[in-house]
Amino acid sequence: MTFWIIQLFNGLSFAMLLFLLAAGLSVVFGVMKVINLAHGSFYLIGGYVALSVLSATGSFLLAAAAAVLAGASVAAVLQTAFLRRFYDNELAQVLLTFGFLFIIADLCLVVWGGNPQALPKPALLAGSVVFGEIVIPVYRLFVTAVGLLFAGALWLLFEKTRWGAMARAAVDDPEMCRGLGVNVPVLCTSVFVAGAALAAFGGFMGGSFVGVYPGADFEILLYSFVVVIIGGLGSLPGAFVGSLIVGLLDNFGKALFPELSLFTIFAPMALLLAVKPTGLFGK
Amino acid sequence: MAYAEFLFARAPRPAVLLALSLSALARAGFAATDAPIRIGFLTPYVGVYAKIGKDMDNGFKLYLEETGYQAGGRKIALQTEDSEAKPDVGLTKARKLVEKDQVQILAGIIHSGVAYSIRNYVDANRIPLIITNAGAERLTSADRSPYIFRVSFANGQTDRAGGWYAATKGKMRRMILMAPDYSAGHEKVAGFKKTFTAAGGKIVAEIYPPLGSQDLAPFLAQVISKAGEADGLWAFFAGSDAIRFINQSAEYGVKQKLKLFVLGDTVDDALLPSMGDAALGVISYLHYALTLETAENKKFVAAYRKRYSEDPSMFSEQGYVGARVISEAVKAVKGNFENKEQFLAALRRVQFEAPRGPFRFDEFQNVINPVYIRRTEKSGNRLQSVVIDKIPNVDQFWEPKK
Repeated sequence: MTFWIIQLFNGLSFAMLLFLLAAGLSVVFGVMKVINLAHGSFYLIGGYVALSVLSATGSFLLAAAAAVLAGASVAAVLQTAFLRRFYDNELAQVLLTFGFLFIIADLCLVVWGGNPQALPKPALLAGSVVFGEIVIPVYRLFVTAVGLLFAGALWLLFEKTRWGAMARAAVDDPEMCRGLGVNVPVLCTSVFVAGAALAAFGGFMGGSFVGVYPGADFEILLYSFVVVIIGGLGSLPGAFVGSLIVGLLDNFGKALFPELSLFTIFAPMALLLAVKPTGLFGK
Repeated sequence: MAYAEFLFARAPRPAVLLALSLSALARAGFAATDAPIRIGFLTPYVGVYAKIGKDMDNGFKLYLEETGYQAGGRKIALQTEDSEAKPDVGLTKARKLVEKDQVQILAGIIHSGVAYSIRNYVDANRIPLIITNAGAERLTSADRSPYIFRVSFANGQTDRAGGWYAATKGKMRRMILMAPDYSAGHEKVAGFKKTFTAAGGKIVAEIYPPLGSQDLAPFLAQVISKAGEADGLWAFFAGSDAIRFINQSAEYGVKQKLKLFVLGDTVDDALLPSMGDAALGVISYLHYALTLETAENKKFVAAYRKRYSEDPSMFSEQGYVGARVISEAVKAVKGNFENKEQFLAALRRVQFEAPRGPFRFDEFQNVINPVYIRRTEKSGNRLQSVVIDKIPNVDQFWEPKK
């Protein structure tokens, strides 16, 4: 029993970290029809910038704010100076983001070096909660709570605000949306920047338990793609459910069949694609 | 040179041939020509291993700089290439170094896959290869070549000393083993098990997470469920895996239940700042320690810090030692490097005091190392690995004396 409870919390915390990434990736695809391969780069930038700001100031709030700001500004430049020139040319846009994935990874290597690093945790969140045999690190509970909080806030944003309604309209029918007077390119930029900010925040949160290092961008991107494929492209609830499925499957798969650990995520994904190619919530 | 070409261009053909063969004879017959000895250094400069590749490169160049890029009266020219830690790229670059840049010795190699991929090439082309990291164990045993030398370690070599120490002086009779699921992980576990079980140790469980697991918690939960039956947890992880392993072991309270005993890579000096107090008290074993109080090590560490403004790692030391091995052999043959048999024989005989301790090769041209048992301690604000015990003369087939 102990084993199962610990594993359940592990899986949940990893799932919520994945959600921070997959939410942006999925919605950006929905609105822009672009698979943003540079999404992992925002995670990396977030993690590294947080690390630098934290070691300079010692403040976690400042570190988080700087990470989000850095991710958002890089995304704003990427979108306005490059991606927007290729509006409606998806192949060129995907290739462009692929190029930026490498460029940003190399720039990070130059600036922060190749040593793997980890963000320290705030003292308040550093310990573990112990119930008899069950040990759960406080930080993981914190990540889980933050992930749930963001899921709720994003749901409100998309369902209850004007901006959310416009974004949903752009996902469903961009031409009609434009016809109704919505400035779709501006909307695209705002969605892209918000998605990047979320990923950079993920880098800050994840920096403490999975670490920041060259290659982290690629690894987290792979997981996020699985989440988005399972949940359905362009769907926020899909990203949430997909994150839970991947986080828990990954965790229980590793714990129960360590030799098959990649198989336990990718086999269900392949199966789902065969039965429902659009994913659980995709259209 | 331009003048010679001018003459050749105007001379009749037979004369050119005669002149060329005369100069070839001169090269073969007399040592100490002016031509430099060309060394090709192959290491990853990009990707996951970029940092340790750079460390090795730094160490190698530091020794060459200290000796003014010459040995035995010959100049040394260094050409570096990026293997990208990919076996196919490594082989292509090795060919490029030998065939285009005309290097006469190859050195470097971080990745065991790259080492295996160039094995046949260097053997067939009779190019001496000085491996300064890759632990690919068969290269100095079953698949050995007279041209391949290794100054770092064979996978499992250091672990043989570690396994024996754990079961005896370390007082860890029952252990859980944990290593990444790839060849080096399995080779190191095999070395550890051999001497550990021979000394009466019992293995409770073996756990192999995939290399680069994003989260080690599910595996640690398995460790916890078996903790009651064991005294210690042995592990080998490197890079980002190592940080996750040490930090998460502390979070899940594994450290309170079991003694942690790890290969030195897991608490590498470069990683310690990211681990903080989670690494305190961890016992590790390695063929090097930054804190060694020998004259050679103090001199090496001081020179390295002065040159690069950072601490050397085990990889820096391996690079430094690799350059010295080549240099000592060239000196021993008095610069007559072109006589390959003599040069190889001189390489086999190289002996000196390295930063890690006495250096020499075994009969399979793999290094014999001291192994240091270290404990991670705090001095001021800095974490460091302090040597608490030493096992001398550990070769790749080491077994404790009866």
